[in-house]
Amino acid sequence: MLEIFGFDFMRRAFVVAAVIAVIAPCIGMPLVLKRLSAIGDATSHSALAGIALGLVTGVNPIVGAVVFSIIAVLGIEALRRVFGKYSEIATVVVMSAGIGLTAVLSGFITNGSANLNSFLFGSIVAISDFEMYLTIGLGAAVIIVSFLLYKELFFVTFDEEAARLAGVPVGGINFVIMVLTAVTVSVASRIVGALMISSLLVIPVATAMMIAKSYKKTLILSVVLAELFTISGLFVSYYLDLRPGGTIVLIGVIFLVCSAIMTAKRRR
Amino acid sequence: MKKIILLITALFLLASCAKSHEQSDKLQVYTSFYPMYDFARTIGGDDIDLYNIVPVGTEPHDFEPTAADMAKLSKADVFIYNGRGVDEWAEDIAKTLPDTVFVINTSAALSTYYDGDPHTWLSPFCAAMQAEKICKSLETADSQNAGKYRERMNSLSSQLDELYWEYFNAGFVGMKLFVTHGAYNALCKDYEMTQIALEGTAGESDPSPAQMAEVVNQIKADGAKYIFYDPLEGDKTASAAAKEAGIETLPLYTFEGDTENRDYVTVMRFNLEQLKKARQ
Repeated sequence: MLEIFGFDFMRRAFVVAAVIAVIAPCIGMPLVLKRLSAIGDATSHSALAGIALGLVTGVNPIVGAVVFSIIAVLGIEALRRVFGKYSEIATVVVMSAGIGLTAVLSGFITNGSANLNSFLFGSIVAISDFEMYLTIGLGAAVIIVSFLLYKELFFVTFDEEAARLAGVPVGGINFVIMVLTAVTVSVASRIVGALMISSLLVIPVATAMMIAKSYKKTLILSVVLAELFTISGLFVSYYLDLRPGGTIVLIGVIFLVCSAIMTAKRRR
Repeated sequence: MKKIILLITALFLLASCAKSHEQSDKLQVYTSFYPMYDFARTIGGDDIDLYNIVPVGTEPHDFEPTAADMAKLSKADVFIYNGRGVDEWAEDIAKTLPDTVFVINTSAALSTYYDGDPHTWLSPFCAAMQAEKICKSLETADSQNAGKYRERMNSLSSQLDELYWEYFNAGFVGMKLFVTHGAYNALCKDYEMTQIALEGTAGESDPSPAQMAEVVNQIKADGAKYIFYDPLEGDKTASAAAKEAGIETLPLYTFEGDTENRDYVTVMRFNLEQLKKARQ
């Protein structure tokens, strides 16, 4: 057996990373297609504010993160309607609010501000039983919802008007997407870091979109790519002594740029 | 428009109502963070007005002073900081303070103990030198009360001396100290221990997987029974390493802050008991 699998903490890291690599594209796909790819960043920064509040008040930080993320995504939905054509402003406004709140609240943390850093960059080498089972449970929930609502999600992401006319409960579906995003981002930020989860929502999907030709193929390919990025990222970070979160994100970005160049050449 | 002007005026009024700091005629002493505060508290007693800048529990490495902190500091008589980068912000603002503020870098003379680790106060020997420096600065700034400061310093230094020998007599020579936050270089140097840390000296980030694996392997090779964590920072990574290596965790304070407001000697005696448990 490889030395890397001789450690329990590495086996946990692989399990959790593999589960997150399935969840992230499943949720990222509708977000990217709805032109909401920046929502991961906005939500994760709001989650950080929730974590900071949790650390200040002594409430479990993950609970704080979930509550703030849900407020953030609902806020984005509400603001999107106000701005109409310029709906992407909503994400930036919520992200700014999140960063501002985090900065102010972190000044009041009295039990180890090092904790806040570990949420920003994750702590994949120290995953507790609770966090592992929480991730697996969340993974199961996301996969089940994605299967059950496959048609509805597909419809809503491409044409909300037509979906509404066809009798799809658009508001309800949007709500489900947003809440799943909020919960995923908050749970994953504890484990892989706020930075990494917002990238994993978007990069595999964006890469897959350049290669695959249908909704279904893009979804499957983006899961495969996310697995490739996270597993190879963990290997590379272990043997080269690099930070795992950043390594995984960078591998994804390099892969995306290479596919973009290849696609551009083929078109010429 | 009227409403906006009214609002702005109201804000200004509110701001000016905020209590301005009342100056007494006692010596106004400010410290960067807890260990400096504790020594100044012991030496200065009731004869100084003492204020600490970094709130207890906030990592001094990451701290940024607010505008209000700066305003207060510029009115100080004495400003005491540790130096060596642990309170880097203090070194930066020390240059911008008016000449009326007597600024003290307590670790300036400890270059041989530095070794890349700014947590000098964790060695009782260095702590005594740093406390002495604080006492001298108080004596200089307030010669009227110099006798009282010296008297308290003498009692502190005999306590620190005792503490030094308690550690020495515990016989830690050659012991390997497994810790999360690599803050114990100066302590290890005094008692010929070796520190093996999961994280860097600044305690700011989690270990990389390779670092974690390396430390776990060393724990197994050494046969150590405990890994230490600073309760102020939490035991998340220590627990993960301990679980992996099949050992236990124990608290060991860096004294960067103390939520129970205990003094240096009390906390160091607690640390001593923890270290004795790990001695083989």
